[in-house]
Amino acid sequence: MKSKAFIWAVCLAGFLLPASRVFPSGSSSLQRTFACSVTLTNWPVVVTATFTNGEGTVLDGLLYSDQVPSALSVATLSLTLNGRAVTNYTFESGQDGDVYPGCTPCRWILERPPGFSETNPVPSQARVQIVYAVNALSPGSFAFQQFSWVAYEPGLTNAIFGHSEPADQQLLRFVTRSYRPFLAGQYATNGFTLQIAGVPGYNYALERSTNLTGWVALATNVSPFVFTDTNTAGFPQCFYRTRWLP
Amino acid sequence: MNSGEKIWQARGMTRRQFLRHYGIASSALTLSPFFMDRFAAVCEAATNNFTRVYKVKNGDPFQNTAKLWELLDGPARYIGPSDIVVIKANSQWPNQGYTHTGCIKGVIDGILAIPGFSGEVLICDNAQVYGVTGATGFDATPSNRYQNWADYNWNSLAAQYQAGGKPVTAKKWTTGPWRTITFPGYSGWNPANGEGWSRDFFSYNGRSTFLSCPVFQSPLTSGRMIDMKNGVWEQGAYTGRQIKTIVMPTLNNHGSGSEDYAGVTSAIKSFFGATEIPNGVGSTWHGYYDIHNSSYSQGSAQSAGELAGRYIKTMFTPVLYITAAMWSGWYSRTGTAAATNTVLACTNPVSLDYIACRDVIAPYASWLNPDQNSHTRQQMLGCSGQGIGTLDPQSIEVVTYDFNHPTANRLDVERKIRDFKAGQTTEQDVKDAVNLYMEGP
Repeated sequence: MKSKAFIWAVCLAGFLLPASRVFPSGSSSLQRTFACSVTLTNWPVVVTATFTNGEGTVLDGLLYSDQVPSALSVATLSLTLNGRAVTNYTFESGQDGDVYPGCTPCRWILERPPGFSETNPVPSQARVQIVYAVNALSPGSFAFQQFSWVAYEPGLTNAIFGHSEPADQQLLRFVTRSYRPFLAGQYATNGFTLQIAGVPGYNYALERSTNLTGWVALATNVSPFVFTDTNTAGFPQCFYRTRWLP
Repeated sequence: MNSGEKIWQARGMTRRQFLRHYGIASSALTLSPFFMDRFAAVCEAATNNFTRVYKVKNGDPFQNTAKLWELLDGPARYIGPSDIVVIKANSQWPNQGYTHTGCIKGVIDGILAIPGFSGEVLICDNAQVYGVTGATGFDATPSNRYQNWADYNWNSLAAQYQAGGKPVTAKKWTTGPWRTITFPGYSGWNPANGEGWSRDFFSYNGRSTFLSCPVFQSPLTSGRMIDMKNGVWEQGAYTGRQIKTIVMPTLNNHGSGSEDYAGVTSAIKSFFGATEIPNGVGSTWHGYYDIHNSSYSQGSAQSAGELAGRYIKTMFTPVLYITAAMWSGWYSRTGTAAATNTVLACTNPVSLDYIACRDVIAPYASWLNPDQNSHTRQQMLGCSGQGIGTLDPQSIEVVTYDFNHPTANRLDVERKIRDFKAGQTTEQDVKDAVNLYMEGP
């Protein structure tokens, strides 16, 4: 096992996974992105949903719903409206299979109708960002397929809505720690955080490249460990690999 | 947090409150190794585990049941296109004492509309071996259809379906024949021997008790035996074809103007009509106590619930329970009733009876309030003690639709969008649902 000293894994950095194009009934849009597509169990993946009010009017009652595979857990990290933190929204979850088999609706509600008493209207051209983490305690592959959103133009008493398209589907893999070195990463507030897991107690090196040819040593540590690369600015893309140090 | 204490309990919240507000609580967390370490400790499963009870009111029987199917996401969620469907209804008493025929029709119409449906629909009950000719759900004469659907009884409804080429019939189960057993034990009935009952003999509270489950000939297909426990049997073997049971009870007071030994007669008690009760409710049969004589006749409503729970676990488990409460006999099964114009559904009888009593009939008959210690509550506790459902209101989510104040909820909207994506509805239909949700009742 140890002879496979140069087994390495590559994780794309510099790009989030492709954002989505969704069906909108009006001019507004919502994009959902995932920080990575492979991770360790009990190591959450951050999901970001960004809604932009493209209508010419304010929108009330924004409701974003993600159909989350039911084996996963969900936690909200932040919800902002034009960069301002919103704290009085409602999060609720439905039941397995309510809308799609094997999935549970998870909803973020900025205002609850008909009173909209939370007073979180979304002005024209404003942006709402919902950041949440999904996690699995057991290994497996989980398909994120469907999401939708609805809102309401109160002055026009007009409903608008949107939904995901097939291109928005995303498969997340949660894997267990194994004797093969594991490398995964995702954005953090101060750079790009990587998790390295190989044979427990053995040393592993972490290296970075911008062209898959020249590699720069970043860290050496005892497995498992976490390292945040704070020097990614200026690189359009980065590649990372890890290897066992005999 | 104490060991075993739930996270919402530690925060002085109910589970529902916690789930609703958790997003707010968690928004203070940031993406950091610290967060990663703590994530597993604070994160909730995405799905909630509330028991859901659906309630539709103030439509006619056909509107109510059609809307109920819609809230349930359609009958195809519960019934397969080739399934044999048994609607176990309550037939024993006239007027509102038998399950509303219009509600049964509404439920059947939904099933028959399942694309490619090739099964059968059988309306069944054994009336606890009682019932007066011309005054049961099967054969009620027009004078016995008061506070029920005046146009049809179950037999004539089935005949009407059959005249239109639809596979619907009514079947009254009958007791027997007896077969000697070794006590305690299970005695399965071989369909090759014709109609009969599979029986479970056991000691219960010191009494030799039995529960039984019918095996009967389909009136629609010669040679097709319906074994409620084991499935469809034809040409000497079980076919693998499934039997799906929908229990459709009434909602009535068992006594007259006050609580008697039973309390409410609804979904839990409906199982008394799915087992044999020969020789009357206070008698034994070949020395064995039936479900009634081992519970109510011993003064124990809780035993009735326990035995119903045992029945569900050992005989067959219905896929759905639908209470037809167009009329609620708050005074008695056949006397004064209130036009409650409600139908309710759930996948377990305990939560269904709890909500039906609390929201529908108790406003007219305080003794049927399931939050008071009563025979009604004891019945529910007995059944839930067997692991069937819950009567904890904090664990029950009631989804209501009121034709007098129509509205839509978030789940309705999501399903509309799903159907729109699948090309099954229009963009305007989705917008109408969103507007209904946004504007409220």
